[in-house]
Amino acid sequence: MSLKPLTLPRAEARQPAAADLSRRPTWLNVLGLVSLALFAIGLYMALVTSPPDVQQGQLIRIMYAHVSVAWICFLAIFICAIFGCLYLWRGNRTHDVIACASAELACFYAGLTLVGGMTYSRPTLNTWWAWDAKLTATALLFVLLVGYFIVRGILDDPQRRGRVSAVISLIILADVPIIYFASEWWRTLHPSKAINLDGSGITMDPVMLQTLLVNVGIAALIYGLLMVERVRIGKLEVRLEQDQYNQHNRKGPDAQHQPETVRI
Amino acid sequence: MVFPGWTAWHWVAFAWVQLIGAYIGYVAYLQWRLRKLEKQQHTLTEVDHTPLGDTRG
Repeated sequence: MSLKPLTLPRAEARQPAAADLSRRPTWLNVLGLVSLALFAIGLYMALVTSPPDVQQGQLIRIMYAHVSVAWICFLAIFICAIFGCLYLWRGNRTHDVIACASAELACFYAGLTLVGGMTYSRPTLNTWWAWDAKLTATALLFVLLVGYFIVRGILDDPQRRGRVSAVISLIILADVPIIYFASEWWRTLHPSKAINLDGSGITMDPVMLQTLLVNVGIAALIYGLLMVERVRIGKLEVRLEQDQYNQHNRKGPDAQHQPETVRI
Repeated sequence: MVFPGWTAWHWVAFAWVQLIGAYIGYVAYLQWRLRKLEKQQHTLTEVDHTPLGDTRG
């Protein structure tokens, strides 16, 4: 009787975690479909339910897209800085992966804010761009976020890369209040805030406010969804980096001397 | 003028199409990146396919 040889690739059998990371969980697919449906509702509210503005007319409908992405950009920067600080404090590489994922999304939303703002500005203010405080500070934010990834690309050592990018994330965070208060501190083309977080009131129609908040909520949900997906990719990158290191040193994945402790 | 004859609704549609296009583009980019990583992972793990029970040399 001849025995059938077992033909499982040895390395694959040793590393089930990498396969688990690349597999998208069902709940993420469901959340994706829910976000899509909610985005359609937000779009309907912005284009149909919301009344036209007294001064801007139908152009106010651009505001729901523009303001929601700008606020989510701030949220992404805030989360990036929090996880950057956590990495500096604890040295857990997962915190760096999350900070990096949020920085990428902040860069994405900052780009959208700039392009959307220009699209809003052209028909309402008759100009694409003005080098005033608010717009310049937003452009600076985008440049700093691009710089964050250039620095990450230069540094090879994961520990140093994580620490330096955490410090950069704090510098980026310092730009956020400058952008937020720019229309109060300096003369700017950008309209002043209609929602004041200092409690001095809201100068906006209730239906418009409701539409804006719904769109901000949906944008936040999409941000969360994209974050989960981006963090999965980040963890897979770390795993691959570790595997390449192990293979390069002709050691198994259970080797004692890793380049850095990775807790995924 | 860059966009002559554009009404307010053209600008509104332009802004929302930008947003939707950016989301689709970013999701496609993430999928491409994931596929690339999976491919790299597959290449890395396809090192040793020697049958474990085969000792015939």
